[in-house]
Amino acid sequence: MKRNDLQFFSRLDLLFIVTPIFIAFFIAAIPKASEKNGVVKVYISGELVYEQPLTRTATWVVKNDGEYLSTLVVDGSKEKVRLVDSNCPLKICERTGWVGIGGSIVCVPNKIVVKVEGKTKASEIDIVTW
Amino acid sequence: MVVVAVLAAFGVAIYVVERLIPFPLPVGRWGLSNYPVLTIILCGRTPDALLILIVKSVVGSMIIGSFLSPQFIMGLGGGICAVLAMRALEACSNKVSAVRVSVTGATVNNVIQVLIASAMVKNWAPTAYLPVLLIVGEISAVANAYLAWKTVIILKEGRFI
Repeated sequence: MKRNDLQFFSRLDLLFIVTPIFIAFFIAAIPKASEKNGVVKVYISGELVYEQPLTRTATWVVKNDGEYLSTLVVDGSKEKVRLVDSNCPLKICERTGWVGIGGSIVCVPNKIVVKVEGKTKASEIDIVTW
Repeated sequence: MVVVAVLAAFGVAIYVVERLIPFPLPVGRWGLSNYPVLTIILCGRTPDALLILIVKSVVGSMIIGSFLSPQFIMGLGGGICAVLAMRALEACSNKVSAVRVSVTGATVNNVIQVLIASAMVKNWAPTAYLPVLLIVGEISAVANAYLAWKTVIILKEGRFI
């Protein structure tokens, strides 16, 4: 294969650069499944295991078959949730910190997904970790 | 072969050091360690690209300690698909530019990684991460393209390849 004429950039490349940006905005624009006023949902391996309104302050221990995985903290006044004291090695779910409506916390080692569903007040970038 | 070995060593070193560079999200990284893979792809050597990719992922993750973790599987899966996509792009047109190949690789890599993550947690939540990833990927893709393009020129001038 002749490759002596390798260019750095050509005009057609703009198309290649713009397309993923469009895809990015398109995905970001897809409306999230919205419900009443904020619901916290916890999934383990894709199964819904816990659900509660976002406005109720509570803590809930995330367990799978009796094995301790993590602790969910819901702050009703701030309308935010977070995970603390996870047993996963990298603690990325903890470092994700407080997440509000439209946000989610994902822990791949423990297969936990915490989703906060509801009408989005301010658009907020979802943070998903592994 | 020596060039492949040196590039693979580069890949491992960047893979390890790259974690220290700040990233706009709590996870993920810039993907600069794909620069050696891109370089060898631009030289038109797909099997060597796969070799470098596997060496960098396996050795790099062993040093970091993430070998066979979800992160590792996602990185390797995305990387292999990216190499195949870049090869397909080169096969489709006989005149390609570094930026085009790099951006294609980065996009395919990001999409596949997010799909693998979605499959692992059996939930579509990780796709919410894709917009940010794609845009960050563009930045590092252009940076990688420039580095790889310069490297290819040097390799060709020195008749290393």
